[in-house]
Amino acid sequence: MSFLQPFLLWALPLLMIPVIIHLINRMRHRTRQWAAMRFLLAATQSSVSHAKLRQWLVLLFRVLAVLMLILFLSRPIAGGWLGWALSTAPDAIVILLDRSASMETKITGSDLTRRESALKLLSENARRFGNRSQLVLIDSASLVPTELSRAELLLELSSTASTSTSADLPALVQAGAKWLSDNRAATAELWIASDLQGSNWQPADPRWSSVQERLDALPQKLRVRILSFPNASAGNRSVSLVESSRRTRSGQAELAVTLNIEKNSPAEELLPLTINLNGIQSQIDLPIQGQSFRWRGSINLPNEPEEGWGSVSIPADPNSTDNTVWFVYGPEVAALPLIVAEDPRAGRILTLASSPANGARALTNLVRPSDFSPTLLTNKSAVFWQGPLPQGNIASNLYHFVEQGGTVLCFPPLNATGSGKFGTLSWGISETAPPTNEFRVIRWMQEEGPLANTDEGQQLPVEDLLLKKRQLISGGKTILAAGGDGAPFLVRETLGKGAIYFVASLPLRDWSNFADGVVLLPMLQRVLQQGSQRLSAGQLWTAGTLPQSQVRWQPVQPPTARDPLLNDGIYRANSQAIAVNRPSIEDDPTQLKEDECVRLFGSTSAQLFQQNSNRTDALQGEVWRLFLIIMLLFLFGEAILLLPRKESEPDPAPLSRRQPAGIA
Amino acid sequence: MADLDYTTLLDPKVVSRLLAQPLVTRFPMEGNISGHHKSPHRGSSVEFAEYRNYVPGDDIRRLDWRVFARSDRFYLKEFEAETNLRCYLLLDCSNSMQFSSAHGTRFSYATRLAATLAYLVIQQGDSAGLLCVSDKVRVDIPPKRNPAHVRLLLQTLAQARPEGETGLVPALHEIAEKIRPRALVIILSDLFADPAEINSACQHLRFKKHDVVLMHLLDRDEVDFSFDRPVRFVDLESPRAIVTDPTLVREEYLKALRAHVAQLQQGANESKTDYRQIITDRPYDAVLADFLTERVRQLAVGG
Repeated sequence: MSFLQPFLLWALPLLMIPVIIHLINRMRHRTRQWAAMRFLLAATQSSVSHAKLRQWLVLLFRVLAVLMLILFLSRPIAGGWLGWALSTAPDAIVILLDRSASMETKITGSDLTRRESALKLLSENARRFGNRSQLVLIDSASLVPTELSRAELLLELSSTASTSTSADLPALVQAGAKWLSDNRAATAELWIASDLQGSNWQPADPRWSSVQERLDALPQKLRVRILSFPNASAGNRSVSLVESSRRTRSGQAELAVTLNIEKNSPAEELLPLTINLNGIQSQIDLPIQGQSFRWRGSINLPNEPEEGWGSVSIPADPNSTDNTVWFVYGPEVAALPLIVAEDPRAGRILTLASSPANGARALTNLVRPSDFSPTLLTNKSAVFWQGPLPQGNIASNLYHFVEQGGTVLCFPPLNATGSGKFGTLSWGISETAPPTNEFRVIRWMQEEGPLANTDEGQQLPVEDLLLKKRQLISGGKTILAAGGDGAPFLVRETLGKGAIYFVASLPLRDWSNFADGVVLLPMLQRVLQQGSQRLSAGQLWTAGTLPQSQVRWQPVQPPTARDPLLNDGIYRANSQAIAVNRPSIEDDPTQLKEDECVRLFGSTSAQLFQQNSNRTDALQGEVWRLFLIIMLLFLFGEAILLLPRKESEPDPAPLSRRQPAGIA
Repeated sequence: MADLDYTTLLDPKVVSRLLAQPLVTRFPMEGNISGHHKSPHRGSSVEFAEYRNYVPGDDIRRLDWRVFARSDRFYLKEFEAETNLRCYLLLDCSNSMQFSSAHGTRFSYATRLAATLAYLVIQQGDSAGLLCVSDKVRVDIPPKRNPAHVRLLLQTLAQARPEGETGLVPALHEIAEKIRPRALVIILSDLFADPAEINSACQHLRFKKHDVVLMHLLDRDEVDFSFDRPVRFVDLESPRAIVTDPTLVREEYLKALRAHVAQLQQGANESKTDYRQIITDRPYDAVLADFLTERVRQLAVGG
């Protein structure tokens, strides 16, 4: 047991106060000449045992009450004999370890990261149960249960090492519940070590209800203990790569990159960005303001070789895993679209608008939806689809195309008759604006996406768009542009490495002035550019999403990188290079609230333990209430002992009572 | 205790109020002169006692000729004799009597009682004597009915001092043997001795046909024992001392005190001793008024 206010334990000598008061009270007695000594002697002799016992008990209760008061004020946190191990050792302990990148943040005042600290604490506490409990580890990266022969293995296993992945807590808890229901231990505890990052826990995920059902259905009594690291480390910054694409400007090859920088404090500062291009470092100072900052810039690429790699880093801070983003690049590939349009006019306009930016002859394919064939997707970066949403095999082919990095931009059909979906998106009703009051787009994402500002910081004239007709979009994931009434104009859904876009109007005169091209052209070019990574030799991957294969990836940078499936960095196999980055959701500072976290486990008893330092007793809970109750019990007991005893037998010879004076 | 002026022992107002009520005895007394108290012998009072047969030697003047005329037999008509009272005031002068509290000392209370009783007894024509007893009989003034005797008694009481240990029981036995004629013996004491021995001594006195009154003087502090802080109790009759928390021993103390009183009461009932428990916070005149009134009432109902 330890204390949150240990300095108050210096008050322990105050325990002597009741004893001292008792002694002073005895020493400060009055002296009284007494005649009826024979009765006093008899009383002292006969009451010596009971009265003295009562006296000592009263004194003991007072001392213990003071002790409980001091302990209560010292805010005890119980472990060992009182708290963590108040119950007997469970038959099984399932340890669920969050190995996400955010767990690599160092704890304030310690050299240990959250993950290392959690492992140390879990190991310490699991060791107390010795061999009485079966230890099972499930980590968020593999979700595979591993039985541990001894608690110390937690500190040694590779499956507890750091990763650059994100954690899927619903899946992790599901895996724990599954192991418990499969193995049916008589008594079990679920120990979860996590930083309660909201994007990892996903409290709105419907899987939590099935997790609750599964936990409730367990025949054995289960206790859930959550070791959390609630406070973000001060001074931490993170950088993530939003977009990167190779292009040629004025004969110079360059890599257009969009970075997202998150930091704890909103103060303005000059952040030095270190750019490493094929091992050659350069630095730029970036003035940033606000807690979330997006930077769009370009990095000049050498003409030879055409392939290479690089990274952008920010200075070291408490979390070393979120300071670097990695990228690879290859020869510039022609970004070709496939245009599928039911309306020939729309198809022609889309064809013109998606022509190569360098004025090269358009090599686009324009087909009707009924003529679509999967073979047409070869060497294509993007698909511009105008017509009824693709269904069946066509949709499957397009999903695969998107997962590989391609993009699909859907325009409304001329007649929205079907209720089909593409991804999670679907068309709603069609709306026509009054003749003199067209729909307008007043909000759009200017930092990134198809409607982002130009490299020079100029806005696209999106607000000049006049929509006579629009098709409502339902089920949108990310709204990139919307009208004044909130109706979305451009929506994005990310799928695999690519994305699906829905735009609410057609580039036709009876629909909008979209065909003017000032918005349509850059929008289509950017969608096309985004999809070109499908064909790029260098590929960007997010840690944890690289599919398992027979390819033997060798780390290039950093040399210590271990596994492209789990760790960020540059990897190469044969002639192919990949860059693996941390998932951007790991930069989300939103944290789950304590009660919200406990509520996720429904009726299962869940207890949250906060860890703010490197103490090994963090798995303990505050037990001041217990000491308060014990103190009150001691005071109550003392009061009972001091109550005058009830006369047990009638007075055989009543002594004279007071009588009024002056009776004559 | 400061010396008392013997004149302060008597309060004229109290005395004048109490004189209206005579001190009577419950049993026949044997006096040497005629008085107001019942005698075991036949006498010449107006109170008819009985008829008895004439035997030679009887004074023929006492023959009831009216009965002889009716029955032709000789009968003598006898009358109750009335004699004077010899009252012994036995004052416990042991150290325990100097117990004092906010209500005064027990000894001064006892001397006032004794002085007033002595005055009342002599004023009603009876004789009063005084015995001061501690570990031995220190003062022994035989009873006299001379009004000047009151002065001697009062002076003696004023000069009396509590000293020594309680020797009440041997003194009572000694007095029982010493006093020949039947007498009224009033004992003023705290009775902090073995109750069985006290009862035995009272029985001894009663065996000698004395009318015994036990005035058991207790202080309010002794009866209530209502101390709330530790006290060092020092014995008045020995160097012994006890430091104790009264709240812890109060119950047992009161239990022992009640048992003591109950034993005394039971012994008094058996030996027909007039036991009276007196708490010294009560005015002594009220105590005496009750005492005198109750004695008369007891006599009236045949007690």
